[in-house]
Amino acid sequence: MADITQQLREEAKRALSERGAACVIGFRQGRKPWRVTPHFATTPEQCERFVWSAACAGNLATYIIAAPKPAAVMVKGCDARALVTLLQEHQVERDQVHIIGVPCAGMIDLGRLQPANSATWEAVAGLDDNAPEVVVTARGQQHRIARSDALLARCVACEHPTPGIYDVLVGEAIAPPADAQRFARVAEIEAMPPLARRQYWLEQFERCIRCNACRNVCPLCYCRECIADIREPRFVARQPSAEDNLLFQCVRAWHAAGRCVDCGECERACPMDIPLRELGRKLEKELRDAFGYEAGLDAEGPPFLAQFADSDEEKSVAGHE
Amino acid sequence: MSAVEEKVATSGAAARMEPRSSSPLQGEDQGEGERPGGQTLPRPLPERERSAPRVLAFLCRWCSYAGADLAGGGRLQYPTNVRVLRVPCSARVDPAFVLRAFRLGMDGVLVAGCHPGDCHYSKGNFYTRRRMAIFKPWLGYLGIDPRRFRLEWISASEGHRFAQVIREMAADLEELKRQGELPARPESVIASEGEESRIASPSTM
Repeated sequence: MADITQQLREEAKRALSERGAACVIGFRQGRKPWRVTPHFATTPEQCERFVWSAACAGNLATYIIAAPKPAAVMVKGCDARALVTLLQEHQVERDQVHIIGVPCAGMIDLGRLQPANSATWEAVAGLDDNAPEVVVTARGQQHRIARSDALLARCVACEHPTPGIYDVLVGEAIAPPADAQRFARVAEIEAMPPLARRQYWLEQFERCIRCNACRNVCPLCYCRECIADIREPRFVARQPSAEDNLLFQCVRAWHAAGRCVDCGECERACPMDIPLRELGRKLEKELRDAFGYEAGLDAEGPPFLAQFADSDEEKSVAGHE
Repeated sequence: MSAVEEKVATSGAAARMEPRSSSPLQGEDQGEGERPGGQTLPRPLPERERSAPRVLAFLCRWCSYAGADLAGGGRLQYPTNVRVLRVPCSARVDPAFVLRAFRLGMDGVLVAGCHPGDCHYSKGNFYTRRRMAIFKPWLGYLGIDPRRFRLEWISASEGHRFAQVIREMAADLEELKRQGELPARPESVIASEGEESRIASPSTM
């Protein structure tokens, strides 16, 4: 990936000088050697700071609306699909974004690396290339984990490792897996009896502290005034409680229906380890099973819920129990 | 008695209230009283009505509301546990409203609109049809029994159908309650900044 890093730096400079980009959005080194942070480059010198590694889990599409246009942005498969949703909704126009696609074999879940206390880490090897192992050096000891065991859960279930939309692709395209088992957890939850299911959700969202990290990091949550923040009328209480937290999260999941591409950043950003992705997976499954629709694939088409068809009649739930 | 009723009963205001000599409702009809802030207290309902399952019905102004009105005008008998919110079109109903209704303690929610093809705004109910097709199965996933939410197409002339739908929903909800599948209503809900909602408290409605 050192090669990818170099190519991205060149591509970023080209975007500024040849494509007329006002800024380039990517990642640069973070506070620790194994962390990255979003970087906004407006000069060739600043482009030299761009890096790429298996720690680049963030979804940079979240910045595209506010970025000075035209903007160049580095996107993985998931990020590119989020961009497609934004294009569908005309939050950004196609000619205003220069898409630098980076095929992705999966991002590392830093939370899975041992030892759990990252303050003791001295070095982490294997992130910036496709090495089969990630090795953490802590207090003189080496802790190894197979790369496949250290991936983010959302990456294990990913069906689109290669961006479907791009102006330039940096790196080799990666074939999608045969069966990503995206809805295994949905089946497990549906196997619970109804009241137990309700109890499960309330237990998960008891922990929510309404920090809004999930909302802030989501590329699709771009409402200037969120329904949950409006004071008059008050839609949902601000004070955390299991019932109100569940209402907030369900409304957010519903407002992302047909739009969410499961980039998983909400879950990664959550400080309370709440399995946020689980809420939306059922909606995604219904979309596929009943309508054969998948979010984030067709930049020209209308959003799913902004259209209708005669064939909807077959799937109508009117009048049924 | 709820805390609110206790306050009313033990305050000086209770002594000033006239007991109703004849009332069609059983028992605890206490009339209106005053809280120390000068606010008027809503009259507590008798136990039988308080515990009856509650349905919130979103009715579109052009068809289903008119149909419900016809049921009323025609003196058709149907359970009283339904409260109506009139909307211009069934498409006005963001399923987030349905989620909020359940949060506030509604046992059942009905969304009714014109029949597809007859929408006053031409296309509204086509959007409703599509979004509810995804929303309703998801409600089941959240642990809300599918019998608690219904989408119906009810035209302005279908007074009987409206009454029938409400009858069915009330019966389904009673059945759910018997089976212990209806979650308990919330004790209180903060519906506006700093103010406890009286929508869901047992003594109102």
